[in-house]
Amino acid sequence: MVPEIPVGCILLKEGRAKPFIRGMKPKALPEWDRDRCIKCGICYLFCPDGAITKVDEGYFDVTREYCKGCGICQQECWFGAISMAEEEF
Amino acid sequence: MDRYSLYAPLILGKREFCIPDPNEVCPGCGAALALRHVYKALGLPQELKAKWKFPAQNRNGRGALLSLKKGRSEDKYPIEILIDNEADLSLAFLFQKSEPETKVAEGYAYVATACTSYLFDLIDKLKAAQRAKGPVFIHILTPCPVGWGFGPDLTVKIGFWAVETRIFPLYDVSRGAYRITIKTLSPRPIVHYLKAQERFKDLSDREIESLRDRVEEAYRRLEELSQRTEVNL
Repeated sequence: MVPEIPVGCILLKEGRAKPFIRGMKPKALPEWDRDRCIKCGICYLFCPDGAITKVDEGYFDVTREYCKGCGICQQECWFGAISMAEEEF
Repeated sequence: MDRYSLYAPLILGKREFCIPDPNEVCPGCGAALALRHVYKALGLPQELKAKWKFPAQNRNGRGALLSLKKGRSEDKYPIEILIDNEADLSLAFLFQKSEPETKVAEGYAYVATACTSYLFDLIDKLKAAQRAKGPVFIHILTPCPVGWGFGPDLTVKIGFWAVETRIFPLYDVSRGAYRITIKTLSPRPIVHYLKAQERFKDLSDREIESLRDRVEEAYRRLEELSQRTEVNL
């Protein structure tokens, strides 16, 4: 539930910017090699932020807004299907 | 774990409860991973009356204590969960009476240790905690990349090593009966665990030797307890 950002990005309510999704810019985001992935879901299990979700045909993908690029999924993938790709800003 | 096949993560609940807010924890946080699965196994955080106690209020001053009240009013026993990130950054807990032991002595109905790396084991223990008729205590080891000094991608690996080196054995005690849930038949040398972290980089070889003796002694005691209490069942 991300609130709409008002014109000029002025936060009308005092307090933190908590409700706005991204808090941290990841250095790298995971990418799946679909030839190697066996759809076991280990990456989904071990993601601390719950950023990994199931997408079409049972493969997995990351929600860019929540991923912090910690790399646990890459370490834990048994088949080396995940690689951390550098994000470009 | 052996009861589950490789595809077991797919049968977990689909709903996500990320408490604390995912924006408020560091990358690779073990505590966030533990809490995500605690709430996944037990249900909505709003239905449970959660109460936090932070290290200063805690007895040992380690980790944060979370006590949850189960939903219905007739069972008033709280589930106490110690989210332990070893905030004192030492292995001092090897040399004192451990938290689960004191709770067993206090007569808790179900006491268990768990680790974020063995998540199905953790979920099993949480389900057992829900069934238990009496107060419950669960001690969860949650590696902390920033405090312990290792890369954020190693959180789960470090947890595996803590259990495989027998430094943090996983067991549960239901009504006085000990049971080692993850058995380490061929333990990994404890150097692997210690040298992967920056907080232990100054340990000398002699200190590591004495630590290993201490760990082996504690594990042998645990094995003895589990054998002795199994006969009584």
